[in-house]
Amino acid sequence: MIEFLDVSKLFGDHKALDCASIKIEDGTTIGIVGPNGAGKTTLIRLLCGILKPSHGQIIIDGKDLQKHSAEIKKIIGYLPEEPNLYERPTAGELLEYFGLLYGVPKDKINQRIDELLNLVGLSDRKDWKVSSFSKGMKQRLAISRALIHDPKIIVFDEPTMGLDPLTSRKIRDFIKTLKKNKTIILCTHYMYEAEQLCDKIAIIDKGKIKAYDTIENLKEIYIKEKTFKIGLKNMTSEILDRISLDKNLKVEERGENYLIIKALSYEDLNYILREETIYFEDLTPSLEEVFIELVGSKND
Amino acid sequence: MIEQMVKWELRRLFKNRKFKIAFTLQLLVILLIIPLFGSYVKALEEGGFFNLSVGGKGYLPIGISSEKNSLTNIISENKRFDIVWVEEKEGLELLRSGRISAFLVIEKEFEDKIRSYRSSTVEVYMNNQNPKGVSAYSELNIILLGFRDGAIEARIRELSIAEPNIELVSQSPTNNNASPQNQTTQNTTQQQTIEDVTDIPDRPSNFQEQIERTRKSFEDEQGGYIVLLVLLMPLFLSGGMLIDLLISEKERRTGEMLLALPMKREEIFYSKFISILAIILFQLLFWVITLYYFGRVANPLIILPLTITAILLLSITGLIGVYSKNYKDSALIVTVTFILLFFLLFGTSTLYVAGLKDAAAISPLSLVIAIENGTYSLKEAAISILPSLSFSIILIYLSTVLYKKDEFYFGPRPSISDLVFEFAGKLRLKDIVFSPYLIALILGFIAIFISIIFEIFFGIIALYFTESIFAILFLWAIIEELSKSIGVFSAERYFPLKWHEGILAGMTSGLGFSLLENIIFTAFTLNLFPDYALRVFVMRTFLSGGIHIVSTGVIGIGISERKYMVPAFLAGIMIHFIYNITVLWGAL
Repeated sequence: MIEFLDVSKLFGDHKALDCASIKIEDGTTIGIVGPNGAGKTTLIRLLCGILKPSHGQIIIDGKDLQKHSAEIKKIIGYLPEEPNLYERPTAGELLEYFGLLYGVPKDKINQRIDELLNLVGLSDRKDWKVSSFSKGMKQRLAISRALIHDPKIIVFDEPTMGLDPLTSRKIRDFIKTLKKNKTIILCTHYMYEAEQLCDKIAIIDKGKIKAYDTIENLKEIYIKEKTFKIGLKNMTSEILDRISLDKNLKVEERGENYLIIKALSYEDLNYILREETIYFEDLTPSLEEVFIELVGSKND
Repeated sequence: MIEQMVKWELRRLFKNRKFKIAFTLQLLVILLIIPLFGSYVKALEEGGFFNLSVGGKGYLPIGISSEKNSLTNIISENKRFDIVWVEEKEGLELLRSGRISAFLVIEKEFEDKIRSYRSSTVEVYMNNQNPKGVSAYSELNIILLGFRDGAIEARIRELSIAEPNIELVSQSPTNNNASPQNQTTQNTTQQQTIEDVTDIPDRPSNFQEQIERTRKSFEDEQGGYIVLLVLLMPLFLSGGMLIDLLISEKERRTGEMLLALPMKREEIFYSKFISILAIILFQLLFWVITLYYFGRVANPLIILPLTITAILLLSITGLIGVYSKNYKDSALIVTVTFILLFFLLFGTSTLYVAGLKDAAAISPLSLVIAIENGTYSLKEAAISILPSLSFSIILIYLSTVLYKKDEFYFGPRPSISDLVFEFAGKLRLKDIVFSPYLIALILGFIAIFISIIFEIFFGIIALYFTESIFAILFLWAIIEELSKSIGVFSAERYFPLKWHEGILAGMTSGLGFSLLENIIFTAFTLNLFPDYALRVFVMRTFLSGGIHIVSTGVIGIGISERKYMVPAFLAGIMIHFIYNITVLWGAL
């Protein structure tokens, strides 16, 4: 369990993180989303022990990160936004260095390196210098580095940023495989990525956590009107009159045999759905709408 | 953990092509220096062309007794000479008193003899007690040999130089050409002359002792000094390497991953520090053994003070590396720091060579020279090592304190004054009534060191270009007042001061400055002219002390009331400058 208790981080007079409090259950995947400069990276750097909080406490597995820094850092794997790799060594040398620093036993390190390079599709590049790697390969190598000590908690900061769609998909698929038994904290700009991979989302803006919940709950809470497309076999004037008089419903579009309706809840549509319907589609917006609802208007 | 990181850093460095090139270049330089060094020593011992003296315009005052002729014209063209035209007897007196470095007596018929293809005689008198004598001799030697071997010289068959071997010694650059008969005659003449000039009045009582001490030092220490210059090369290179190691992690952001490692932040710093120290030690060991093997180092023990110097350099450059966010940042600080180090290391070593051993002993490099010449003592070793080592430990501690701060990796880096005030905040200075004056006093103490460095630096430049003592006195007044004002500015930033508090803060800063300045002056006077020490102390306490207090007090008004800043500074500087001139007139 990871707990942020009223954590703030100040750089001079600037509050990069303002009284953040969240709990992350073991084995869950959490998405941290927010606009540029919102404080996402600050939050995950604090979590990795790279930054020290100005106020508040971070408790991981019941231990204060500040007091048991070295012990806790051993169970955290971190992938920064940029791969930040040394260029001169080979992929194998680099992983060996970090493996030993994370306390991987010497007799197991080579086996672990081979496993990881195989997992990220770089097994044939073990003896290649890092400087010869493409951006996507570097990112995959950086993921291996983050996992070299088989951490319990893995923190990804924008793992697919600037990568081509194919590599991005590979990395997303790889993260899905990790979800089984790890706690994953994923910082991303891409809402679909967060929706695809995360169990819970924290939306952060101007250093404050605006919302933290499951995607469904966030949609439920922050998207007041839902949008549906309903196809009716017989578009009678009787039903159309009833809809137009209903204060809970708003017709957005009317076609020959369909309606796009905004409703406060699904239940409001019950009497329409009792009619003979051809099809029914929930057009309720995605997490992106929640994000825009929460931070968009203020940042316009 | 540190061990792993040190191994990694060492492996990275030894695999680095640039490092390999730098290391090879150093090796080539040392191999080149071995024969150069030998040549230099040979030149010193036997006379010759090799001259490493660094004097500027008018550095070598010489006397000439002659009509102007083609030889004196050539000598006059050498800007290092400051020529005094004198009669033979007066010239020898000046030489004896140390006021000129060499004295030439050119016979009246010199020009005629050359024109008529006859040999002529030039007597070069040297006072071996004058430390500049060697340089003057070397310069003159080049001219005389060139004169003989060149187009004009072709007409001179025998230019002989007298070589009397009595108290005032003249030396011959062309020993082989000196005619024995001529020498005998000269010796007799010289003997007579010496008897005439044995007692020269109006000389400071210990002037001869000073010259003697300096002469001996130069004679004894120059070997060690050269070794020192050679061995400093890897130290400066390694300082740069540590900065690079620390800043490259910030610029390439690889440091972020290091901070995520399960180790203490200070351990990361120590790993880098130890890696570079190991490389320096390896290089020093390699160099010292090589020089020892070729007989250029007398005692391999010099590795000890050199290691202390290396630690000092690394602790300074380490702090710069931690403080700077990028290479641009570090460039300015490195430049300033290396200038300071130049004064600290070379300056003190030069003082040592010049005979001021007590003052110079504080630098570990002076100990290198002492060990090389077999004159070191345990006390001297302690004085040389302990201050540097203590200072290094303080700097290393400061580096680790800063390295632990997030702001030096991420976010806006705090300025030095921000850090000082943060520290002051921890001391709860705001709660103490007299804190502004305490800050001004402490910074007044520090201002003297800032002043000395800038006064030497700009003083030399001003003297070279203007040759005016007034320009220097004015410059020094500006430098000292600006240095002292740092204390008042700092006090004013931490506590807004009213005008009368500004005066008081200025006076306190001036007091701190003058107190330490007087101690330093008195210590120097005790060393150089012990008879005058008490007089200097009393005079300076009442005169100079008062002026420093008044001038900075005036400036304090301008700092607390910004609208009067410019006039207050001008007034303070003018008070100081007028005092400087008055003192100069008094002294003259």
